[in-house]
Amino acid sequence: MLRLGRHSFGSDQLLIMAIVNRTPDSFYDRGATYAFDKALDRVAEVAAAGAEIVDIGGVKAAPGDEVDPDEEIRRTVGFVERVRADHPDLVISVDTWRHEVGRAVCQAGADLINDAWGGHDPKLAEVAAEFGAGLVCTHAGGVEPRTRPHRIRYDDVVADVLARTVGEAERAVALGVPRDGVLIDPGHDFGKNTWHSLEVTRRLAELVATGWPVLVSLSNKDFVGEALDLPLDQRLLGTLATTAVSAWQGATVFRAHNIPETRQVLDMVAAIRGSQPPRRAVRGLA
Amino acid sequence: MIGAVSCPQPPVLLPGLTGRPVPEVEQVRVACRSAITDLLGRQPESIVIVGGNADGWTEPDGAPLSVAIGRTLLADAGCAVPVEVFVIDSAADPATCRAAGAGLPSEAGLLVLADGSARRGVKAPGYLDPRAEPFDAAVQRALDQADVEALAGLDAGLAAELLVAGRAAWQVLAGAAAGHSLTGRRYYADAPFGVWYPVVGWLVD
Repeated sequence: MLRLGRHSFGSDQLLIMAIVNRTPDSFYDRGATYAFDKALDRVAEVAAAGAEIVDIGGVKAAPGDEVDPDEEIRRTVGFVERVRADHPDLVISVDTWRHEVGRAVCQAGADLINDAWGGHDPKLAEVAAEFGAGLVCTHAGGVEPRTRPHRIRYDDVVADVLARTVGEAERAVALGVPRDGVLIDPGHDFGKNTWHSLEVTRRLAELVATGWPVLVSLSNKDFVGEALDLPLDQRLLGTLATTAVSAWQGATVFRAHNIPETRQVLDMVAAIRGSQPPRRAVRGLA
Repeated sequence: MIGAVSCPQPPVLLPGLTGRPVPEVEQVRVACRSAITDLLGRQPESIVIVGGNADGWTEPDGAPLSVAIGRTLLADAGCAVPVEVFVIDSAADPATCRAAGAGLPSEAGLLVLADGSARRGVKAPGYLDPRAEPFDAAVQRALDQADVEALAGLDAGLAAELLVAGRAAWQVLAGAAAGHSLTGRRYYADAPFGVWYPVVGWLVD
């Protein structure tokens, strides 16, 4: 059972968290939804395509132009309010590492804080607790936000992922974050080279075995590009293969750019594992 | 007998077997429910399920597919009278079938499980056979008009070649209905998956 704001989901449901960037410079969409109205259109589009969650971000993950908390709030808070009003059935997540931003978006109606930089700001979990919001506890290897991994080495990357994410999840619950609103995310590409991201994918079942619901953020990332030696605009198939493998191992939430394709893959995995019936079984049964 | 209903017997009518509901199948199910409800309205003392055994499909309880479908349809229609089962060898010759029908209880309603050719198109389970459509059309006329002699006269060899799974059960019906004055009513007739599915009721005038 996963409970995010007013929304509850069964433990065998496969959920899509659609990426909605209010940034001029994010790596995949390159500012396509920076404008308020464009971002709002994107929300309507992903909701219609089957996303249960939108993840609103005001700062690109990679290094780039400085975005201070006031500017991040300016990009996210009014937008969260509008999405809350227009789409009461959507779960609203905000991708931020700053507690000031977390507080402002929770006041505006966010259900979930996606702390993609791994607990860099320890006050962020306190904000989630204060508002009863959910929290994504991500592994970023302890690096500073908006940095690229450089010569990072782990003795055992999955052991480090488990220690940090589960530790952060337990700390969040101890602070008062609702237990059934906490997820863990191995943080593909964050504080990791491609070997590390492939290994956490291969061993994702170890994260699932902790009992915390697992979120994976795979979409068009560099580890997919490097695995296949393909540029940004040719990573969809690799992303979807990774999505299927992760779903099969028990991941619950899939943060994604390409919603119809991701929905189709997850529906197929659900049909194979028997958690969702085929839509139309007639072959051999006429 | 006091009346009869002929319903098709595809596995898609078993509970849950299509996954999510399939509109074409639900249309057949609704027609079967209407026909059976009308038959039950005549207050039969019992319902006799009449079906063949030759589909190679046996339920865990040993019942042939036809009987499993019959029970499903009766439950769906809220049947509250006793249910008996009469299974005919699908390969039995027409005279044997007709004689067997004559021995069925006189105050019962019959639920006959029978479908037409499975060779109604190039995407049909048995591929297209041009003889299938005229064969099924002849059955359609016989059912619509409650024509006992036409049903009794269906060619067993041709029916087998056309993958008609209902010939023997229809000829049992012919035996049971002989001598009664009956009116036929068609509720449905189509071949949505390349197999011809008629739903027809016969009620005593």
